[in-house]
Amino acid sequence: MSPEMQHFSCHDEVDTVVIGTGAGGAPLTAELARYGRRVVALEAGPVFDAKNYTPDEIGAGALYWSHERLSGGENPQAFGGNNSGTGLGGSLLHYGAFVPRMDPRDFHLKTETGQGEDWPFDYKALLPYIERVEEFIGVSGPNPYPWDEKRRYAYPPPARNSAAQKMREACDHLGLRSSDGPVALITRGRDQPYYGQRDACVNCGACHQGCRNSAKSGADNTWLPAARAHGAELRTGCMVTGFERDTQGRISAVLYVKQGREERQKCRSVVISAGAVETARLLLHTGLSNSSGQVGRNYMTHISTQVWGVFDEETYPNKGYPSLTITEDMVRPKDADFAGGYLLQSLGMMPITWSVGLARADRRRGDALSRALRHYNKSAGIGMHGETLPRDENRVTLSDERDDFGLPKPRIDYTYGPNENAMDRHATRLMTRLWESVGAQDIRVFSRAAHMIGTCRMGHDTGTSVVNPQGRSFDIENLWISDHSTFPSAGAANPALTIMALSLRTAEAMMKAGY
Amino acid sequence: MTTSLSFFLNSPHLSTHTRTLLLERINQEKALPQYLSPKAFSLLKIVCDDILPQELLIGNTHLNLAVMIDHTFASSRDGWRFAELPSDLEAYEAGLMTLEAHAYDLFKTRYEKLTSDQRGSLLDHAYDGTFSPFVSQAPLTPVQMSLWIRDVRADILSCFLSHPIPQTLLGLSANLTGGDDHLEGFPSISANERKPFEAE
Repeated sequence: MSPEMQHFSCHDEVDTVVIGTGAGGAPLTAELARYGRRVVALEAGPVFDAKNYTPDEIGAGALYWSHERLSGGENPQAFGGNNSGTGLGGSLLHYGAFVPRMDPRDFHLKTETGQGEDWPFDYKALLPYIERVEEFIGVSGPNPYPWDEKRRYAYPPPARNSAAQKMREACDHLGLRSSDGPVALITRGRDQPYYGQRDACVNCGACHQGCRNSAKSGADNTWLPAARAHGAELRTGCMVTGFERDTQGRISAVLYVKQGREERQKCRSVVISAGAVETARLLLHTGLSNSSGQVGRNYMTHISTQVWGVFDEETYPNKGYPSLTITEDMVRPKDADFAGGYLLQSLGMMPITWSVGLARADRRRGDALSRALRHYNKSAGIGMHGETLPRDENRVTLSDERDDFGLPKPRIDYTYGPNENAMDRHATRLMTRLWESVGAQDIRVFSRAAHMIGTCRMGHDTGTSVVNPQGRSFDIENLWISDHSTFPSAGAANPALTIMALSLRTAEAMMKAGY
Repeated sequence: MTTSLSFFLNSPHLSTHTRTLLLERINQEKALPQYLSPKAFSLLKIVCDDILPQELLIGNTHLNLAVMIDHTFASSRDGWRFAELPSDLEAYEAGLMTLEAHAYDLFKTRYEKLTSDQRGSLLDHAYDGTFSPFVSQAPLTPVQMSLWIRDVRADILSCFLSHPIPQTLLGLSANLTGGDDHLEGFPSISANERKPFEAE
């Protein structure tokens, strides 16, 4: 990034304060600044130097949101490295960069099945924004893409690692189509506007620990340099704690803590892009935008069960892009006893992350556990991302415990319903059969959920939604939400691409509304 | 320091930042515990060996995983905990005391005096959530124990693999992605292919 950055005084009334600089906040910040809006983006974390990232999984913990969350329900979800980031660029600093598009059918699940929820617009309405995101950040993938012949990717896929190769063989055995997946990384060097040189992926495998050569397309090396060049201020180390409002109830300033001091930034409008947990926590804590009583409700994830096997060959799961092979054949399985569907992807994995899955998967101990650990270099996995249905009881609430900022720690209760359990069984059976078909030994299942979705649903109905279909609060006219908390349903696709597309769409709507 | 460990730590494919972290971890493993009570710490040492015996993995070397776990309480951990459990450090104290209480309940003696099979059966009960709910000296319920023991197992494996000795002896190349000036990555990622710089 260039050394000069615009700085606004706290007393200046800027056009927009954006809270969060990840997939939800960054594209919108860049877009508003590009059209001359005066924007301050507040980021709770620091600025990282990509060259200093480390593949050491404990050391890479600096990239994860480590403010404690309390995880409850019958399927308590892991947070931190599993889904939540900190630092300029947000969770995209450590995301897996797997960017399948949401299936058009997943926008209308309720109409199709009577279960789940419809989005207030269809795939076609979002497609132009999806294509803009893919073009701007750089995405690799196969041409043609087997499940969407019209789609084109700008970069050829990266090299296949052993897990990717083995899953293709397994899919061939069972008659499933498989392909290299859409991945937000570049396989040829590129001069990124306002950022500079990004190198091609070198198969180091440490995507989740931060990409050291900027091959991975995040916010830190795409949207945020553009935002800054267009005059946005990216203010780090700022933990937002509240708002001031004017006599009409509009937000007039954002309150935040920086280096232990409370500061305020005056503004004409606010966008919250803090993620499904933090966005809900901030609204619940401040009591804003919740006349519907829906804030925090309908928390969703993706069922992300993994099935691992041991092979005769050395597979080196840490090497290469971790999860390249995809099949979308299960987005609507013919023999499904559930609504919706799931994606499958191959899995390599860094050793500690893998071992934590192993530790939690079953009660194996003693020499049996030592032997299992010794087989890391011969392991390969397949993982699913399955749609989960919105359920009222799955929700973010405020606990009685306070964090270092005096804010209530969030509690997230999450329990699979019958649909999730049926889909999980279906997928686990299939993943097990896939690995059996290519001779995997010691097959074991890691049950887990990934991603955070919902808690501030968008829709047309003010009684059941928190924001309108453009992300604008029904209660406070100058408050907008831009992140995965607005998703009415989870779909099966990893959410980052959809979040970024929605972010551009919301920026456009804000400007049309005079912000 | 063995030749292979020295080769690994001096690899030009290891960045200075990563090398520093690994060297710090060697020192942490030799330090004294600071957070757990002496009673809990000595029990944790036994539990670590019961869950993950190290001989099959790293031969005669033995790492003090309990002190590495103790060190994780120095700062915020991984950003979440089970809502049903108290804070991580409290949960460790309570969980270890609960194991001890059930050792007395089932076998009328301390955990450390039990046979390997008896200790194993206690750990299995903990994982399965099948301890008796009527042991008054047990600070954690059977359900809480089944959550806590999962955290313990994860911490044990995580601390073990974070140390450079297992990384060297198990042939883990995950940290060898590139030096300070150039991210080499891995030119060979197919099965059974490794370059000489990768650990054997």
